[in-house]
This record gives sequence, structure tokens and C-alpha cells, in this order.
Amino acid sequence: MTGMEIFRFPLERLLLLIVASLVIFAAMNLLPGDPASVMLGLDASPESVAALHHQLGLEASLPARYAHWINAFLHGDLGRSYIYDVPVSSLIAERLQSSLPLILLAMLLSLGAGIPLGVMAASNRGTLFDTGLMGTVQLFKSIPDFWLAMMMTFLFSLTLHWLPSSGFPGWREGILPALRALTLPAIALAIPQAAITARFMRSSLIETLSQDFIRTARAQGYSRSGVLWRIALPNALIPVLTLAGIQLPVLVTGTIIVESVFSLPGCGKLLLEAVNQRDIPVVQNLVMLIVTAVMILNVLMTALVRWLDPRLGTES
Amino acid sequence: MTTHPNRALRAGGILLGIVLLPATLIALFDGDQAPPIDVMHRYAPLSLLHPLGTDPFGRDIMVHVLTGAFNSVTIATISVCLATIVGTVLGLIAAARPARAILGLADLGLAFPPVLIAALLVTALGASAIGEILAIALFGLPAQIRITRQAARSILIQDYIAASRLAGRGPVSIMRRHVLPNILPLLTVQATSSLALAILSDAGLSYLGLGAPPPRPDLGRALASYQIHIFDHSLLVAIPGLTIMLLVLGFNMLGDGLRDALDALHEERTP
Amino acid sequence: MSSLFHVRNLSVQSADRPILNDVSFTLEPGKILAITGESGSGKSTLALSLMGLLPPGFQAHGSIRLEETELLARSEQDWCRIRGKRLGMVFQEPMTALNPTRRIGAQIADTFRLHTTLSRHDIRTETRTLMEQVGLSESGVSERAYPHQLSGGQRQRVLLAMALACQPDLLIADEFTTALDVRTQAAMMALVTRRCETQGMAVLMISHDLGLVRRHADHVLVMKDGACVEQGTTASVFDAPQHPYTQALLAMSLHGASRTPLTPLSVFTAPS
Repeated sequence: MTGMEIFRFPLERLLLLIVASLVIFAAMNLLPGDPASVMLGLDASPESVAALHHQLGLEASLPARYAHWINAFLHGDLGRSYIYDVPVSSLIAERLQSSLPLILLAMLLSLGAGIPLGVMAASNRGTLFDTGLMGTVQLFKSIPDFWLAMMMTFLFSLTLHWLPSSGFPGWREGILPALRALTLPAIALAIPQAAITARFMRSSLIETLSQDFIRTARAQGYSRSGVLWRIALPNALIPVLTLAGIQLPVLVTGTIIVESVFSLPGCGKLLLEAVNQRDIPVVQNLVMLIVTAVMILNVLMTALVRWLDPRLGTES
Repeated sequence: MTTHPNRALRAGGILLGIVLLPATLIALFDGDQAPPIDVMHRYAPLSLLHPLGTDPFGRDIMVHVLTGAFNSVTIATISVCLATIVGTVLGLIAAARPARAILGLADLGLAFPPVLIAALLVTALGASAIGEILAIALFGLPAQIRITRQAARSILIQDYIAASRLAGRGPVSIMRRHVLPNILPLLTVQATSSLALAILSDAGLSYLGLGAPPPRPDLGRALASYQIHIFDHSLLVAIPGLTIMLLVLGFNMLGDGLRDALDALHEERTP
Repeated sequence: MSSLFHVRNLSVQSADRPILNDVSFTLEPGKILAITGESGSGKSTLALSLMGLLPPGFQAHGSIRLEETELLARSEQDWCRIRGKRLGMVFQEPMTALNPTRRIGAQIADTFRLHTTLSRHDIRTETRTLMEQVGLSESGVSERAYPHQLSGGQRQRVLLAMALACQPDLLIADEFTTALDVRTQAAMMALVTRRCETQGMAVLMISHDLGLVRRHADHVLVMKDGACVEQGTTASVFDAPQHPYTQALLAMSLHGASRTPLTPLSVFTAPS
């Protein structure tokens, strides 16, 4: 691997991030009506518009405002919410308490269920289990996650009373109640992704098992299960990790929707509230933050895949 | 799955027909607006007049949901058409010359799921059908660009393209005469599968209130408004959700069936 | 009878289609038996059935005996103890036969790990020695290299090292020099024959290269359509072929080598 190659991908992603910030800034500042009048609505008095104008620093030129925003963003200053009149960063920090564990839990569940199911389907290829699982996968791929969430609430909360149907008690009440509140949302979020992962894992493993080096390992004395777990699986997992990286933005979308179904006070809920109330500083900075996080995770995931697959990175 | 291609095709067609045929008929005769509100007949049970009963506003559930399905599919179709046309043009350009900028643009979609695009657009412009279509189309664009580029490249390396070039054909003419007709079947398969994703996106966006605004009914919005009735009138929540599922499953299976049929055709041509 | 390897009336079927028909031969320690014939004659299926690695749906009948042990009726567990330890195998495709994501040292060490109780440290030492023996170290190949960093010949040496690690009684080599240039081919064969002479390893060499067969094999078995048409010592088969098929085969190879054929050769197309 040449030295240039290692840095090229993150650099490209950084460039992309800058473009993304321009898109976000343009959407918030260039579209018809200036931010102040958008936020205050149509029947606002000229005085209050002028006051907000000043508060938001809208007198400055566009490039100056962009530079100011990015500079502040990089220093962790995400502006001030117009509606709540508190720093956006503290709003987000508070909301991350449920959003971050939710995404992590969903990712874990999706990989934790999808990978073993895919492996089982691949090693029992053509059996009833395999066809049944792949049919179920097709079905779950087609179910909207928020509807699945509602149906699960109906079954597990309202009918069986196993888990709470909505709300989040916070971590101060103890870990268990918080986890219980996040369980249903995480499962609802994870199921469609687990279905896609299982399907992908299955085809990746079947493809790997047909490779010549599997036969070499068998001739070396590896048993059928030994070759599956020690040789085929590590190779077959690499594309699944790439897929997981691609699923991440989808999971972000899902989080916003699922938080809405379960009334979880997370970042998704915050974004929706801000959109409805035209709280531009919150929307602008939260979207930028999400995009940045997705990009960083994408770079990390790509780095991990390159590290696991030595062929990548030498030839492009 | 290794089902017979015609079986997947047929199953997909039947699933879509169940929803889309009556939906189109209703849209043709009654228009794409919500059925009238009738407070005298709220929560009517299943009857001949109202096959699936009425909702909390006294509207016929079946008519409401089918009209919603019609509107959802319309928005999904327009979005996919937009993404397909723009994506194909950009993909062809990226195939013909080294165009890192276009590929970079395609990567941008990776960071912007439709919800974020819609959130930005709704904040700036308010909810609108056009905004929703843009959000869904922008999200589908990257995949479209990549697939077109890859398919076009596999055609461009063929010998007859070189011959055509030597004969003095320009790049635009080569794309139109040789590349586009060859990748058209693949693009059709891709568009069919994209429709499934677009319907899911539409349902999600309108559920969140980021989609096309009322008065036109929409499956996602219907679910949002019926959600509080999940315990006392669970059918209200079940029916719109099942309708979305039928549509998505239908387009997915149609796409799979078309892909298998296409593969079979390819194998026949190249023994 | 001190013979090492006995194959009696070996037949292989896939569904109802016969692939191998009544093949029998015997191998003595330190000897090289070459199996030759055109593509599709069942040579590779024969090799796989001797390793107990037939693809699913294939069934073998008859008898394969390694010294006093009957292999055909063995359980999968027993087979795993035999493969790699008493029977080694080298395959044809050096480009794809190695695991692309593991270092070659680890892949060679696997054979030791699977069949010996050596410590990690000892395995490392053994692996290094083996890499020297097969000539990997002299060309500067590190045990930390990945397969894609090696040339075809170097990869084939890695495969050979994996097969020879536990000093097997029998090495099955399926067209393993076909993809290599003539010089590397000679070097590889020298490695194998040295093992035969010093350790009494027997070799079952599958090749369609009659020149190679004549230079190295002690015995030759000619196959056609899944059956053995002729076998005997290399000298007798090459100097006085009995079966018309063998005669045609030899005529083709001799004339084919000396002048450009006008018609495509049906016998020696691409190796299977």
C-alpha cells in the first residue's frame, strides 16, 4: 500500500463533507425568504424580524456567515436554538443519550441476528430452513420500519405488557428501565436491516465456499466446520462489513422515524420539532452533525475493510 | 432466491394488481382527493357500502387507503423517473470520460438520506410534493449513476464500439445508438426495484410530516393519523401498513423476476 | 506386499452418470505414478476421490487402501486426520488456491497446527525451514507476505510447502506445474523428486504434459472416458504402447511438438 493511497480516501471524504456543508448552508440561507422571516412566520412585525436578523448575524455577507458558521462548528459551538433559547450543543447532547444507544443497539442486533442467520442459511443451503428464511427476509425487506414498530407496540406492549410502548425514562433512573424503553425501538429498527444482512451474508458465504482456496484448506486437513468458521467466514464477512457501512445512513433515517413512533426524546425527534418550528440553527447544525458522523464512520469502516482485506489498497 | 423467474414476475404482478387496479379505478372516477368526511358514520363496521368500514372522520377506509396508495405510487414513480433520467445521463458521462466530480456527487448521496434532504427542504420551503420528490430522487441518484456507469463501461470496451469510433461516430451518437439500447433492460430492472425503495421512503417521509402536505391522502400520513387508534381500532393501523407492504413486496418481486428473466436471456444469447 | 497405496475397482458416479469406471493401480513408496489422458477423462475426479473430497452428489465405490487402512468407508473425522498428514495435495490454479486474506506463513503453519502438537514457537521454526526447503526464502519471500504479492511460481511453492509440511506418504499433484514456465516447472519437480528419494514419498502426478511424464514418472496410467486404457512402466508405455488411444496420444505429442499442427488438436486442448 502506498502512502498516498491511505490518505486519498479520507481526503476525498473531507472534500465531500465540505460540499455537504455548502449544500446545507445554501438550503438554509439562499432559498426564498431570509431565515429571520422564515423563522418568525408571515405575520411577524418588521421590528421583530430586524431584531432576529441582528441576533442571527444576518447583516454579514454570505461567505462571511459561512466562514463564521464552519469556524464555530469546528470549535463545538453549534449556535443557539431560537425556540428554546439554549445552546444547540446542549440540546443535542441531551438527546444523544437515547439516540446513540438506540443506533448502537440496533446495529448490534442487526449484525448479531443477520450474520448467524445468513451463515445458517448458507450452510443448510436448499433446505426448508433456507427457503423459509429467505422468504421471511424478502417479507421483512418490504415492511416499513415504522409500521413494524407500531405492530410490535401493539403486540408486546399493549397486548402482552412486556415492554413499555413509548417514552424514555433517562439513564438516571437506572440502566434497566432505560434499556427496556429502548428494546422495542431497537428491534423495530434492526429487523429490516437484519433481513438485508442475512441475505447478503448467505450469498457472500456461498460464494466464498465455492472458491479454490476452500478446497486447498480441506486438502490440508481442515474439517467441514473448521473450514466454514476459520477460513470461509472471515473472508465472507468482509463484504458484509462494507454493507454495514452503507446501512448506517439508512439506520439514521430509521432512527428519526422510530423515535417518532415511540415518542423517544432523541435527536430525530429534535430534528422534527426544529423543522416544524423553523428553528434554523438547530436544523442546520444537527443535519451537519449527522452528515459529519456518517462520513467519519464511513471512513473508519472503509479503513477496517482495507485492513482486513490486504488485496484492497494495492490495486484500485 | 432460485424461484422460477416467471413465478416471481407473476406473483409481483398479482400483488401490485390487487392494490393498483382498484386504486387507479377509484382515482379515475373519484379523483385523487380524500373521500368526504362524514361525522355521522364514524367507525362504521365492515359493510357492503364500506367494505373495510370507516375511519374516525367517517371516511371510507378502503377508498381512503387506495387513494393514498395511488398518490404514493405516483410520487414514487415521478421520483424514480427523475432519478433514472438524471442518473443515466450522469452515469453515461462518467463512463465516457474520467469524471471524478460526478462520482463524488454520487457519494454525496451516501451522507444524505432522504429524511435529511426533506428536513432541509421543508424548513426552507415548507412541505411540498415537489420537495418530497426531490428528496427521494436525490437519494436514488447515486446508485443509478454507479449502475449506469458500470453497465455502460462494459459495453464501451467491446470491439464494435472501437470499430464504430473508427468509422467516425461521435461519442453522443455511440451512446445513443449502441450503449443506451443495450443497457435499457438493466435500467428497467433497476427502476422497478427503486420503486419499492421509493415507496418505503415516501411512506416514511409523509408519516413524519415531511412529505407532500394534505389534502391529498397518503399512506404514511394515514398511518400517522390512525396511530392513536391502534388499541381500539387496530384494523385502522393494519390496513394502510399492509397496503404499503403489498406494494413494496410487489415491486421487489417484479424487479427480481425481471432480473432473472434478463439473466436467462443473456445466458441464451451467450452460450 | 510392501506397497503403499492400493486402488481397486474404483468407480465414481454423479447422479446416474458414470465419471470413473473400474480404475485400479498400486503405488510403491518413493515411486512416481503419472496419470495422463485428455481433458474430461476423469483425471481430476480421480484425484479428488483419492482425497475424499468429491463434490456433493458424487459417489465412489470400490476400494482405496493406504497401507492396511481402507479409506473409502472412513468417517469424515478420520479423513481429516489423513488429509494433509498422510496424503498431501497440490492443485492446479496457483492464483486462486491460496486464501487471499491470510499471510502465507500462517497458511503453511496451518498444516502443522492441524496435525501436530508442536508449540507456536516450534511451528514458526518449522515453517521457516520448510519455506527455505521449497526455495521461498532464497527469492526473498517473507512469511508475512500475502498471496497477491507473490508470482505464480512462488504461490505454487507455498502450496507445495503446505502439502509437504507433515511429510505425507503420498503427494497428489493435479497439473500443478501446468501454469508455470519451463524453468520453474523443472525446479518444482526437482523439489518433489528429492522428497521421493530421501523420504520415500510416493507421488501421484496428474498431467497431460507427456514430456514431463516421461522425464519423471516411474509408471504411467492412461485414461480415456473415465476408464484406464493402459498402464505400465514409463519405458514400456512410451516405447511400446499397446492401446490405439495411447499410440494416438503419443503420436500427437511427438508430432505436435515438432511442427505446427494444421488442424486444432482435439486431444490436448486446455487442461481440465
